[in-house]
Amino acid sequence: MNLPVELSMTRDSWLSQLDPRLKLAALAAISIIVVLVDSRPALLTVFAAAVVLASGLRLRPRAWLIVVGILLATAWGTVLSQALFYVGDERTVLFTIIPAGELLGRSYAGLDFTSEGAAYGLMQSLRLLAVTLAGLAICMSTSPERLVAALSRLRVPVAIGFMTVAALRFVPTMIEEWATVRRSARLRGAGCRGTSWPRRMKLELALLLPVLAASLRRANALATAITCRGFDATQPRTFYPELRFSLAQRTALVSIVLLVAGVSLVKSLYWLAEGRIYYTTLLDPLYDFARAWL
Amino acid sequence: MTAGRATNDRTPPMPVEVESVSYTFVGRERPSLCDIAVTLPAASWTVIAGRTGSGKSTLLRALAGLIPHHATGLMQGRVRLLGADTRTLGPTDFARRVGLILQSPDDQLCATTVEAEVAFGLENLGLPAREIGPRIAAALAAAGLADLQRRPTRHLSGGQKQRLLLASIGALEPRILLLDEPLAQLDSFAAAELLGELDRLRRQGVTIVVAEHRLDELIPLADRVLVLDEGRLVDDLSTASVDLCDTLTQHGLAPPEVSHLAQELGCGTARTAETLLERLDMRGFNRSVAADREENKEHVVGACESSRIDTIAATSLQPALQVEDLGYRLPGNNDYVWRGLDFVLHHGECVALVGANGSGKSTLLHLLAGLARPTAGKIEHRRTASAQSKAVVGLMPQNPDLTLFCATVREEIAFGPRRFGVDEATIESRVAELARQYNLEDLLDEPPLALSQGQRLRTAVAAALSVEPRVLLLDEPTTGQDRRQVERVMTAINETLRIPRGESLATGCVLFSTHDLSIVARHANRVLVLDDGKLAGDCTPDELLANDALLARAHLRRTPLLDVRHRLALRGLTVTEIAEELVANAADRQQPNRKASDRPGQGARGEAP
Repeated sequence: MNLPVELSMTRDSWLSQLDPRLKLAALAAISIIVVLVDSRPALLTVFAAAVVLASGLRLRPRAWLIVVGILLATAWGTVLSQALFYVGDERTVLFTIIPAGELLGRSYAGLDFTSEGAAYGLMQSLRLLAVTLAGLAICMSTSPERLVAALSRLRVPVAIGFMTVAALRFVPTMIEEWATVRRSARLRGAGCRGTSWPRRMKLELALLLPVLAASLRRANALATAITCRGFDATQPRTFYPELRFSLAQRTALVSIVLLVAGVSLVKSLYWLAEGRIYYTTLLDPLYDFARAWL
Repeated sequence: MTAGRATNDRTPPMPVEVESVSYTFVGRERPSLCDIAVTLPAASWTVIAGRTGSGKSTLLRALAGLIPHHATGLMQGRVRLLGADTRTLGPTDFARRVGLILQSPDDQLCATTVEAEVAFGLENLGLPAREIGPRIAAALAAAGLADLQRRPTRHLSGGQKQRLLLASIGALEPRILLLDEPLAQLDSFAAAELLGELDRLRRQGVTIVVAEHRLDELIPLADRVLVLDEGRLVDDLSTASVDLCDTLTQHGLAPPEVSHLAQELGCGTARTAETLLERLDMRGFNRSVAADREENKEHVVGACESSRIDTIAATSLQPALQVEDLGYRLPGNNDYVWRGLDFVLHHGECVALVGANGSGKSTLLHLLAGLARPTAGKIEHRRTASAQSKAVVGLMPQNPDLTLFCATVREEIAFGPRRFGVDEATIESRVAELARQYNLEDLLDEPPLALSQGQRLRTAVAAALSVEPRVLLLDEPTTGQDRRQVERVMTAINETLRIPRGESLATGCVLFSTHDLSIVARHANRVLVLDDGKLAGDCTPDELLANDALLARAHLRRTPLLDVRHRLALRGLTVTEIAEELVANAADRQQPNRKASDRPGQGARGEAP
């Protein structure tokens, strides 16, 4: 369970050197573009951009295996659900899992695996994976302090940023405590056979009590400690080291903004034309481009 | 009048002025602080002593300005810090002038790297980044952490974390430093480093106030002791006072052992082993002992072994748990925490596990409890023919609260036996017996998590023992407890081990990790030393006490009393035992024909009157 903590900022890479505001902008851009575009080339391009970002993570092979495994499982889940429950007009059945039939005098539809559904699911999963991968890359390559500094510069209240960071910092501790509580209880016979499910559930809930109590004590101690070190969410504070864009990063940021603005504009004009709200022959090349590539 | 006012204007205000402060928590009838009045000058070092729950932490919170601003109770009176009233300025306003360090460093670190942690307070003060960098460097250099600037805070040892906190607060350049049990989780070396750093700050003019149970280590450095009892300031005396021991004893506190011994022998006051040895020499005790020294040395280890391992003899050293070639490394880490561990725990043994902060003591206990799987080797639990209990291992983690989840103390103790199918009549008698042993009889219907720290510890131990485990694992049971509380619990555990069950006299064994050498010497009959990723020693407490190299590897230092004992080659372990031994030896010098075996301390320990 220490994986995200182990990975973050342990080894410097080009990604960890980037200003976190640029990384957040890249994440926002990917999140917007995957919603705007529909074509396979465009989605694949966005996914490739996310892969490039993730390549900046210097993960151990085992960690890569875990990340890739999680992503593939997510993709497979999306593809499978869409392939089975696709409701489009064109449905090419590749194989049938449950044939249609009749039960107790009532007919029911079968469960088929369709190629159109699988393709649609693949596109949906590309959207999901692109955002997940980019988000993972940015979280793992940025220290929580730098992230708070970036969010603060983006006008997100420090209290929210700091609370998120503090909560994340204590997640592994809470998991460890939860394991200790359960193991201690098992050593006292909590896992004995013959215990009914309702009683087990009741016990599991009771076992949350010491974890919650410890978390409350810890939260209280942390609040006391940071208060005495001058933390006041309502007051302005500085950040060290200061966030500074290099020229290259500034250029990259402008490019990202222009790209998102451009895609949004082209796609909006295309939708206006498709909806017969606004159309001009002058923009025909643009419509063709949007139809083919976006 | 004008001249007088001018003089007063030039006089700097006292760092701490407490005027008739009382504080009552919401929902409580009795105040937790009652009419406290005290003034602390600059560059002073004050120790706040008191039993668990006496109001030490509450007083520190009032001194930090957290009360009344971050508390919902009712405060009366006034606290002035460097002339500023805490009722008008809040704790964040005092951040530049007052630093507070709480007990657990883990709970107070809010950043992921050492550098970011020190920067945190400076950022809060709104300092520009160009000023923060040099301040971080200076604070880390002063704390000896300059090489660790980029290291993640979770990779630091307990001592390093405590020093990092001190550096983080030191970077703010406070004039008053308040510490709540800062030594609780530190080994002797880390504690000595921290105390050295505090002493350096005091010499720079910082006013130090420490609430702590480990008085032996603090008294030699401090110059004043405030004794709290049920929220009242019952005594305020110098650490050099001849009344120190009597006063502390009178209020139910264990006085510094070396001072106590000096007083018992009529040697006046002594705050360090060296002073006491000089005084003993002057009074003739030392000379008489020195003559017997070599003779005694030969007997020390043997005598202690014979007196401590009586429980083992009673059970014929039947193995309870065997560890073979055990190794463990953290997930995703190539380095072993330790490897090649081989040892056997026997029924009836009380084994201490010692080692520096970060040596892997807790990890080993967790593995033995089955919380984690070993990377190499195996752990084998042995069941004796006479063993009736179904429970194999009992665990009390470093935070005993993590084992308390029932609605009442009675249910907590009965939970295990009930799960293992013990009949209700037996459960009832077992609950009654454990409640008696652990002084919980009046608390059986109370919710465990609402009890005091010491009561929670005793409940957790009683609950772990209720299933009569063959191996009881205790992870630093001494942390945050006053010495008498710890003595009570450890004595009760040893007593529980000796209870006849079926045909056997003792069916369990205890393995406890600790940094407290006194507890090791008094309650363990065997010590395992972890160092440098391996088992560096497996010996008796006396062998450890006599071995400077092994002590250093365990990051342990003899307490002043144990130092006196070692240097005079004595056998006793308590102040009373050592005092009697010194008196008897002095008498022996005057009666040369008296047999050595007639001397107190030669037989089983504890027989001396």
